Amino acid sequence: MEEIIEVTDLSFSYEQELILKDISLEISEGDFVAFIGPNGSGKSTLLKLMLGLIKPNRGEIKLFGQKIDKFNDWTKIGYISQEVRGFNESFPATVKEVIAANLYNEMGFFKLLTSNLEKKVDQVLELVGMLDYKDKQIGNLSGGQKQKIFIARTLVTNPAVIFLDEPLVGVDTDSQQEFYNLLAELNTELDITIIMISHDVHVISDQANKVACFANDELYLHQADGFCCSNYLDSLSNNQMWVERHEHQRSGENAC
Amino acid sequence: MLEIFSYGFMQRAFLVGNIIAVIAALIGVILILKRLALIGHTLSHVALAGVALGMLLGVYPVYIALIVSVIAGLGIEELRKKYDDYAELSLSIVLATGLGLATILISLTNSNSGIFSYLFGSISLVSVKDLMLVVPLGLVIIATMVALYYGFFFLAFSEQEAKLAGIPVKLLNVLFIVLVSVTISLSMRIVGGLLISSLITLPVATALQVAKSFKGTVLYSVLFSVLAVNSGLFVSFYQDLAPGGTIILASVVYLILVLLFNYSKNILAGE
Repeated sequence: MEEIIEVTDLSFSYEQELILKDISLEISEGDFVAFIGPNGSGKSTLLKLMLGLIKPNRGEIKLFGQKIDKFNDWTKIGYISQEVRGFNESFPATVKEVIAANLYNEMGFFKLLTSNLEKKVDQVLELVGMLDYKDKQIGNLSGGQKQKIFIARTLVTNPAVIFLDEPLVGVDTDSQQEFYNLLAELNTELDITIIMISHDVHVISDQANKVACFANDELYLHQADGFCCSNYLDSLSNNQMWVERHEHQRSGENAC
Repeated sequence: MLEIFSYGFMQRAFLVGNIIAVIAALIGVILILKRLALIGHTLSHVALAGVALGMLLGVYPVYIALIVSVIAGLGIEELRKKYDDYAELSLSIVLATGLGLATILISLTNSNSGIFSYLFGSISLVSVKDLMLVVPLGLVIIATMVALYYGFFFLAFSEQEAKLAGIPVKLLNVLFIVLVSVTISLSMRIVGGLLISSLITLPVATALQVAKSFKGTVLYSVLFSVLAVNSGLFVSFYQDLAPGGTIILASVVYLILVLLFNYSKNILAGE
């Protein structure tokens, strides 16, 4: 499997506060990686670093073999941020317009939606089961429906990897399960690599094939098969911000 | 032919007025959705300083207003980055600078009537020179807004996500602020510096009451803006009223009518 993300000896601090210290991580094509850890442990920070939204103090990040500051094929990358839910609900935009905007780089000289591009919008809406909502105003949809639309928007550029930053906060349980099923389908059938931050440790560790625990400024990578959820939660319950130091896991090894 | 169209200055006023109606609406939609509606108010005051400087130097005032407002627009964009979470602070800084400069320069020009025509607009003064400036620049602005339609849409929806989608956010922001500055300078002849920000915001405010999509908002904004300018010009001509003020009050009337329409629709629907 091709390594699509390589993080080497990465450190990052917000002013004086050290968030990540000398972390290394490799993510292969087709992986479904869950990022878990207490609030403030650096999950979102690493995601933003891997997207080039912030710069590390030290270390290197490579996307598809290219150093992040040289990387420019952003259509390969999809990102659903925490802020995505915070958009202006009364913004006058239809589902079609929100998805079409992501096709900006495929539009010609005139940045307008052609009938060919509109077919792509229809295809992704069909894939997430939301074609009937194409002309609805985005702000009028439920939390779960909005998340599907943002997934569709991400998919429209045929990304190889999708980053999701706690996408299910405020979404009801049924919609959450539907959403996980959709992600699993994208991962297994379309071979899209998924990196997802979640606080829902039980569910996410069931879905993912790798689990990355964030704690103590560091990162511990486990194969999901051997990841022991209850041990992890026990270690958290003693001290909300502290996880017992545990070994960096290799493929097939048991964790925690 | 109606009497109003037999006058050369009214023909020019209608032509210039309609172009301004379209560009003000196009610019206004993005400004309001980006929650930067007060940029129009700020830049119009800076443009006034440019007009006064032009008068003082004996240069066609709109030229200087154009240059000064573009510089101020770029200044706002730069300051906006420095005050990331307090974008309106950048407007206050530029507004204060523009108003201070305008006050000093106006006091030095000794031409109150000239300044008045730019403050409140004057159709009778729309010259062929104005026409030669407004028509080509107006068409360039319309073409740019159409060509980069989805770029500006994404910019208004979410700058951060636009950046991640590979959209040249910085370049589009700079281009947009230049378009705003040019629109404001060009509009001073018809509606006046003090009223242009109303022409930018009111038709969009009306459109937001009826539109369900971005495309709808753009089209309705242009429609209400064109209606306001034309009905305002008609009424001001036959009733001998100030055109700028009449155009703005026409915009307010359309807004009230739409609000009343929505209100009665909701009552009939039992909401």
